[in-house]
Amino acid sequence: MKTRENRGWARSLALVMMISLVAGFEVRAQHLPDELHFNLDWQLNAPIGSDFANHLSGYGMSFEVGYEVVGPWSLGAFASFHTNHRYVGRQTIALSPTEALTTDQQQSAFQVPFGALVSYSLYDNGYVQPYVTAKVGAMWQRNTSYFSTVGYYEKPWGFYVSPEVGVNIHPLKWGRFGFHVAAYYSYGTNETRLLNIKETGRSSLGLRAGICF
Amino acid sequence: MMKKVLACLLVACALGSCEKDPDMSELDSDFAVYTQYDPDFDFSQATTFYLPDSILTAGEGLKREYWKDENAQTLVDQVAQELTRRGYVRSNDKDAADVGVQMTYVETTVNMVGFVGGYWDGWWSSGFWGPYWGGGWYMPFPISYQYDTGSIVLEMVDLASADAGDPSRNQLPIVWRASSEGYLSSSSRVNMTLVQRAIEQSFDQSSYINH
Repeated sequence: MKTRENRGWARSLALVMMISLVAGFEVRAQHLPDELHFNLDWQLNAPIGSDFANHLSGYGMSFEVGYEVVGPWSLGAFASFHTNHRYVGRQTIALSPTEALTTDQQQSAFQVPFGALVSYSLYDNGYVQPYVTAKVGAMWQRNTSYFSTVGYYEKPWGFYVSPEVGVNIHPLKWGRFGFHVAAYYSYGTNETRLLNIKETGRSSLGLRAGICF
Repeated sequence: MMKKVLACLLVACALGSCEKDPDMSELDSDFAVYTQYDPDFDFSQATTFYLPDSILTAGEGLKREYWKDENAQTLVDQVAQELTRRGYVRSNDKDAADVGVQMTYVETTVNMVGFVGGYWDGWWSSGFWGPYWGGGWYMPFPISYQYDTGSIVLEMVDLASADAGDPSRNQLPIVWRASSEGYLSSSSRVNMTLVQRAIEQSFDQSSYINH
């Protein structure tokens, strides 16, 4: 049986890394080329068509970097993470023709997609910049079912695609800093088999809100 | 190049550590009950059972011990009643019974120890940010907590298939197994209730042993 892991050391390291990144950008902001832009968002995600950890949640963030290569076209990279949960009340599960398990469970799906993106700016008047983006990459997923004193988990990999439509809003005309909102659909081919759950692929709809710079 | 590789590794580490744990307080206190049976065994042909009047448990140094007090008798009686209700007859003769039932109970205590304080105990502590953030350095101190788990196992063995050349009956096939486990509370009465509910559920989800 798998038991829950202590991730305290990883969180400490993550904070050190994030502080270093922010400090680094603060020093170099004046040297960033105009073609380079970033988005940092909070994320709301709702799985669709899935019975595993399928509740809407806001436990996620997204980061993008893009470079304007020609006209309204940009190329870049993205990385994000999100966790969805679901509590399943006590029930008897048939694990096999000769095995049964009665328990309640707390399901958790932690998704980490990352990859490349291509973006097209529909319009830009210096204040409002709507766009459409297509993201392609890979997704690492950790699906866990917690019950009683243990947790069963799997860590499947999969292919990831996500179209997104959004808008950058700049308070100052042609200013670098602004606000960003977007809506997206995503699909990952990750397969999961936990207890009586068999999932082939995972679709989600979501919203992002944050800053662009 | 090395800096870029290191940066990528740090990013991967950061993303991988951002999982949000679910609310474990939503889980109920009942034991998780697991059962398994041998599909080749015909339960309808087994009419008598032998059940010891004590429960096997682990003593100090994991030595075999037998639990025989009033609580143990309550659990043994419960198993006997469940089998009787399902059409079995209890036999006091182990050699004549069709099946035997072994009860095992184990309690485990898990101790967790950690340290907080100083500069490097964790980012949630004011000490991590240094004295400039108002928290100040403070002497590290240990924290510890423990939890107890209980496990009750019922195993039904086929006594009738004992090999004539094996008088000690060390090679008896297990035809039905029920294993239940969960957290224990500080109240022995509550713990007894949890174990009794687990035993009841073990039989409820095993209708194939009914006559």
